[in-house]
Amino acid sequence: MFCLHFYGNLAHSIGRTICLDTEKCVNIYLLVEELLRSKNEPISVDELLITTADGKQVAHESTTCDLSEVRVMRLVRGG
Amino acid sequence: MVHVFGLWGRLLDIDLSSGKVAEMRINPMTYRMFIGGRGLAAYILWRELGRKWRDVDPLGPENILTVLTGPLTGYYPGIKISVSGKSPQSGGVVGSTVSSHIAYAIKACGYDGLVIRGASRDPVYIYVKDGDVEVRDASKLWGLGGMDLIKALRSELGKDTPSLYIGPAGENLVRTAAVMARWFHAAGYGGYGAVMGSKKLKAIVVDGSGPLPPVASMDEFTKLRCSVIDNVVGRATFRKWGTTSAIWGVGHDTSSEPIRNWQEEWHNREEFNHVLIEWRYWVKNPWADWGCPLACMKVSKVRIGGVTYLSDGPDYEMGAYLGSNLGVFEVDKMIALSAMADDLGLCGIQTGNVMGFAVELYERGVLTREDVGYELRWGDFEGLKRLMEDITYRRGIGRVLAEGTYRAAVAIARMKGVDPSEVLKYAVQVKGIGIGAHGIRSRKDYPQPIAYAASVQGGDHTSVAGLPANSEESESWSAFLDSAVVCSFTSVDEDTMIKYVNAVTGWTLTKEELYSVVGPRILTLQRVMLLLGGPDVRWDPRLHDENPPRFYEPLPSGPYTGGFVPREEVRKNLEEYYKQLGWDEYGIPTEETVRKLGLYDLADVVKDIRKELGVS
Ligand code: SF4
Repeated sequence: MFCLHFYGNLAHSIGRTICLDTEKCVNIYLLVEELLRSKNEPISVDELLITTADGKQVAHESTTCDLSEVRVMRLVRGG
Repeated sequence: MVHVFGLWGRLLDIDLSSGKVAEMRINPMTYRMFIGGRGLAAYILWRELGRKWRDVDPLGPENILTVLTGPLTGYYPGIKISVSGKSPQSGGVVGSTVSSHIAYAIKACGYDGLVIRGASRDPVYIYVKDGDVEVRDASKLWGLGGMDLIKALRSELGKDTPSLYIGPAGENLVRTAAVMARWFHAAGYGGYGAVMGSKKLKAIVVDGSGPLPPVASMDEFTKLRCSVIDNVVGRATFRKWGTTSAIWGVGHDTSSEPIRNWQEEWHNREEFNHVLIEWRYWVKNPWADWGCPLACMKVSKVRIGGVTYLSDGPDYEMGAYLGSNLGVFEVDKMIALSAMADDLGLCGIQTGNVMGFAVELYERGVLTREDVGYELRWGDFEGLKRLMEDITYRRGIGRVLAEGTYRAAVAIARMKGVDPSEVLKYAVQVKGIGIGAHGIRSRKDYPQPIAYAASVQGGDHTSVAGLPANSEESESWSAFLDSAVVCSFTSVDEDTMIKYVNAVTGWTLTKEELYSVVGPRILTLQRVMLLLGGPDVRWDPRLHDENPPRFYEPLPSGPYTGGFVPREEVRKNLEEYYKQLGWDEYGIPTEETVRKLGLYDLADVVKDIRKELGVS
């Protein structure tokens, strides 16, 4: 089981937590990108900050086999 | 002597009334409690002016202007400086930031910042060269716009020297005036351009050649700096477009861009997009602020009616507020209005906000041709230019609008003999501060429904409130970045940011401490000063911790048509937010909270505020 915790308005649109059964090791950024697309969210993965539960940025090559949960929030706020 | 790693522990304290220059020592514990920048500004302002806060006229000589660096200035990629004081917009304290090399130069002079008090009788500028400070005559510079001022300073000083300055708007005490830097950069929120104008201070110029203070752990600092640079350099899309691409992304995709004074938040105007700006108008891309590997800036050049206009990006906020919010969808004209605002020293957000408000009032017949002297129409470039100049020079209706949207609404209601609520319903502001160009109705952008209603900086889109209060969604995170004084676009995850501050300063700050003590401490102090307000504004949290009425009207167009935020949800989230910060159900910090945060002298003040509001 791999869980994504969404913050802010993303939590409002997508739900606070989504847990998925991932049989294979899937790249976390690709997984999030696909999820956003499936939910019709007008945001790209480049605009997000994906961190571990203790606030460390998830490495771009990390997969769902490396971690069991991540936090997803907007990186750029403003501008 | 080093007081704390990464900082000098001393500020230049300059009194423009007497011409006296002194050194203000800041002890290491104060830095540990308030970090620097915005947090330190709130501390100094409370210490110096707290007891008489309500009576301090932000545009009087008793106000204090702070120009402060933070522990990460010079060490973290990118550059910002924090500008603060009692705000002529909100009556509270706004930590306004602007990208400027002056931040590095101040530290290279052996200081962490400047505290400027009093007021000069004649126009002056402050010149700091390493340890020497001079208050110089600026009578020949008074009246100049940004471009001419920079040229004049260059010829007087013999070289380009980092500066902060005001244009004519600041000189004329326009409350939407910004403190400007390097032609196009503005510390706009707060209205500190008018504070500089009230002190007859045209510019602050700093030439520093010394070293930076030592860091606590060079190995850790070097490692972190390299990892942040790697991370930031990878943000290719942001480097390519900066924030300019948002004029399409926010307007079209997330449907949260101000259009005609926020009557809509969606557009499908393909001619109003960043690609067109790149093809036709960018003459420099990328362009970076000092020490910034992200390099998100650009320079645009347009020529209209024989006049050449130079602007940056324009960044998204300028594009939105001086473009779509005014019904201007021709990018060349939007760029020209941005260039004008920069040169006149106006905050594009606050000025675009009040201009959009005026055009809507005209459209609705509240303001008439007799009031204005000419017609105000959406997208009318010539009329809008004239209006911007009238605001800058306080001519005609410009005299009223120069007071900013909130005060202008109250004055126009008085002028028309109607209840203020009849005019305020078109004012898209919170606590005297026009809302940044990111709406809340579609829920697809970053600000939450309480983002502005609960912010200690009102409508400031760079310091929004959010739940949970112990995450990057909270205003504590913005307070932290503005106090460490970094550019939020180059910021990274909280774990790395905190380690970075610790590597430079030698502190042992933790995430828990940041969200439960340091962030809430800065916010609580700012909140109390905002609730005290004065002399001409007072905010009652039951009425003013609220979104502008427009945000409760359903979105009339676009993919999220009908979108709005229910009032009950806003109230519920506000209560939860207050609770998480240790404030009571009205959003007044409790005595227990202020004591826990080490703000002991606020205990009586919050008791008095509660008593005055009749909620004790
Ligand atoms: S990211 Fe952009 S705004 Fe921030 S310091 Fe770098 S160039 Fe300036």
